[in-house]
Amino acid sequence: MIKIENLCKRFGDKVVLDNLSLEFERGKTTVVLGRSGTGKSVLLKLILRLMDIDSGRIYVDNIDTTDFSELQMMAVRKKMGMLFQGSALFDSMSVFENVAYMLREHTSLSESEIKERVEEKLRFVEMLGTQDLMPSELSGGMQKRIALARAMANNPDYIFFDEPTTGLDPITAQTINELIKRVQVQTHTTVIVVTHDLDSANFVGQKFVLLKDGGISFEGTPSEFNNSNIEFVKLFRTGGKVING
Amino acid sequence: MINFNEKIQKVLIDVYEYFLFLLNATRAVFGRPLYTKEVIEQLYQTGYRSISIVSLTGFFTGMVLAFQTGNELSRFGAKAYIGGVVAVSLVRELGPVLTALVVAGRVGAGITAELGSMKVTDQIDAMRAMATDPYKKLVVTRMLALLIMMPVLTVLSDVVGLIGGMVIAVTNLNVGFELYKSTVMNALLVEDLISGLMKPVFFGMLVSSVGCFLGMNTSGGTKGVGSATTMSVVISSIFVLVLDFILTKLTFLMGKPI
Repeated sequence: MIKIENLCKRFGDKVVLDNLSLEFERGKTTVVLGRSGTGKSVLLKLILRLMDIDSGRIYVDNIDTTDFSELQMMAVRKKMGMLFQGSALFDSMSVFENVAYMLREHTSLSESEIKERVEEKLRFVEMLGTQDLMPSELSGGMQKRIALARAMANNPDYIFFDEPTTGLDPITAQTINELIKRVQVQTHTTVIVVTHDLDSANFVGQKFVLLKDGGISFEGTPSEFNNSNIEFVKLFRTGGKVING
Repeated sequence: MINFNEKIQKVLIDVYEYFLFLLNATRAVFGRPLYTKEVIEQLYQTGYRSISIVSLTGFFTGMVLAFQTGNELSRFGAKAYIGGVVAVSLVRELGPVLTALVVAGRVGAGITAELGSMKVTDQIDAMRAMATDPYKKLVVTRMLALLIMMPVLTVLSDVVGLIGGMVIAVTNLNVGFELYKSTVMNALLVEDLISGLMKPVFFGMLVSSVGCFLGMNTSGGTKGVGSATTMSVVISSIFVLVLDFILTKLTFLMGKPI
């Protein structure tokens, strides 16, 4: 479980997260929604401590990681996998090397065991056979799938998705959505999806959190979200069409 | 006036961050993992692949030096000393400085462009998210490789430069090979050789650290990568010349004219 207490983050004068408190339940998929620039991606980067926290506390598996050093955070990060918005595959490495990266860095698996694991993950994302290709030879959707295989390679307890369907056509986006759902159902991993794509959120989410002005505007189940009468939720749901006329 | 103060403030912050970066990189040298394979790869990329350009620079510098000074020395009937003049100029100053400038342009710029591209495409964040220390994996490996290769490349440049000087001495100035060789050997002191190996270590440290620092702090997409790469070459080149002056002055103060 990941628990966040009174988290604050600002960039210069702009307050991005303001006393945010939130819990991500074990084995569930939580979708963090919000308009662009509301700190959704920042939230993921703060949990992974890719950015420094201004104030507040973050607990991972009931351990307070707020004051952890970079070295201590390394151990925490081994339990997590992250799929970046632009995939962030290592462009000088092949697909195989990308997926095998964490196994080579942090495990003592033999090359044959690594090969087996890489093939297992590539099969999961339906990309078996692309091992020798370079990331530049793949489409955006294929890169996302390889990035997912890489994030899953070490069998993490948590997987974070940063805008997984942004920039993809509806059919490819649905393929990614199905993969996210399969990750949670088959591996019981705790999943956090950051998105503003409501179709994607409704497909994969078990819990919705809507961010507004650095805080939480809504927190509940997808059906509660879809029936909510909170003005901002209605605005977000309809893209402003109903409210504005 | 406010603008000027802000600029000074920004420069001071950048200098502070550079030294903080050096401290982090030094810390990252110690402890596991060692990334030996990556260091070897960087030795190849920064060293082996610079051999041709460094040799060419050294060869033509040696030739030009012999040609220019040879003609002047001839007026005083001293062209027999051409070997000594070429040797001292190359080993003390031109070899280390020109090699460092060439490496700053080829390797320093390459390091900044590579790390900068990784930074703006989130690859460095991805590396950290996968529990890898990018200082250890990317910075230390490149700095170690250049610390080792810069002296090696400088020695190569010196030797090839001396050969270039010899070609001109023998073919244009009618100075025999044996005479050229003996004046080279007589002119060079142990101090010259020590300085010829010491300066490149500092230059290697400078070029690699500036390249890595600017690469790791790149922002602003592809335009930012371009600006950082240009900055890397400009800053490295200027500070190679400044550092060369400081090191030369220091060695003179210590009583060794090198």
